[in-house]
Amino acid sequence: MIDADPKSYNHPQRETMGDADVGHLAAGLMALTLEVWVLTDRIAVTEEVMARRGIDIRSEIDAFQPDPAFQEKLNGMGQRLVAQVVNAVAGIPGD
Amino acid sequence: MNTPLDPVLKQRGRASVDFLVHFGRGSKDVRGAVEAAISAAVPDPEALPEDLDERNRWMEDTLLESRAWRASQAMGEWQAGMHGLIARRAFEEVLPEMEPVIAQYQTTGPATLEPAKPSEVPPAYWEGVNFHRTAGGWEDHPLQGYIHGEIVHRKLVDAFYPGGIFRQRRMIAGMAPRDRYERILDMGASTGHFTAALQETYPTAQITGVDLSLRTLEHAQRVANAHGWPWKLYQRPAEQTGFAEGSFDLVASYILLHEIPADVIRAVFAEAFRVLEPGGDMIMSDVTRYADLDRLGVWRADSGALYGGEPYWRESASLDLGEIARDAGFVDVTAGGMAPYSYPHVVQGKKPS
Repeated sequence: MIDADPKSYNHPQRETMGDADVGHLAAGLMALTLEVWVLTDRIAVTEEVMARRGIDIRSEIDAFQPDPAFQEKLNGMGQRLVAQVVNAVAGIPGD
Repeated sequence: MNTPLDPVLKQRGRASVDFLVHFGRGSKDVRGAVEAAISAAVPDPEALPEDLDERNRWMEDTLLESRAWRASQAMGEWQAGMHGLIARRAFEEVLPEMEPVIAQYQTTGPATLEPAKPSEVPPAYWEGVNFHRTAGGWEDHPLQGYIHGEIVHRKLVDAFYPGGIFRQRRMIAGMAPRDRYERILDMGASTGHFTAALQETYPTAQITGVDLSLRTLEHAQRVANAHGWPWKLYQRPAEQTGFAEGSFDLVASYILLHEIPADVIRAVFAEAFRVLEPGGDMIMSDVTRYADLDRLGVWRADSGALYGGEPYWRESASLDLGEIARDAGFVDVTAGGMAPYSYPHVVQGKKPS
């Protein structure tokens, strides 16, 4: 055992990123914020367009359960988004 | 093994839980870059420092030069701190719909649960420790057992090892030497995933489960009731179950031992021996032994334990469980890791007739 108090494992001291990483991290964060905002705007516009046509899709979206094919599509999209961000932070060139 | 207890998450919770899976899979390039950095830093694992603390320091100091490593540490820290909270938030969204179902299976069915008496103090090695860095620990949220069993295990862990975590439990349950048991004790029953594997493998057996966590046992009770299984569950330590000598013909545990200190592990084997009837069987499985890994592999496991809320992993994984079983009195003892990763490590033995 490394530490006599097992509760110290609840919040271990872990060295992660340093000063040299801050600039890269900020760039990645801003790129992500842009992407999130574009999507947030698009969803809000979609809901508004549907509402003006008399269709409230908000509750339907809340309850929506993807079928396997759509889940697969979502998985691919999610993994690509994660890869874009974490590769940028880690300094791994994109495709 | 679907039941009405399966959560149907709402969009925000579902997408957030899914994101943790995307996060793991989408990080593969970073993991690849980290592996390249490790390979460059460690051409010969046996040249690493023998002392494990010194080895950990050397690895971390060396790898800090790698930007991919630093990023991976930040990502790992985020995942470790957030997975429990994200699962909890996803659950809170569906709580109004799930609450009647949860209440029904908590109160209706053949399974029983006896909480610890108020005078019984939880052991110091367990109290206040957030195992797996679960937000707030096992007992913080009143429905933590549901959150852990149905969301963290079924939605997250199972996504990375599809079907595997349940298949492995059934395989281990089936390794006990007899085709039939009548009275089985599951030490460290938690939310009942291994208990279910035991019940499916030995359908006529009366199964008893003990665990220190009342919250996880409550979910085991719901699982048992949903299947009509008459489990007897007790909030008691595995090292001091309170059952009479010779009460069981099989004592089993799955991935419990690395969550308890070495002296308690010895006490657990002694208790297993005591409560088995003469000729009864013991099967326990746990994480890969450090003795089965090279120095680099040990560092990986030890580092994962350090940052993954596993305070006893090192001392547990350093033990020879076969020797401990023999010291407890078991005969015909076998111990070894399952191929291809020596995981889990399985120890079996018999109480002399």
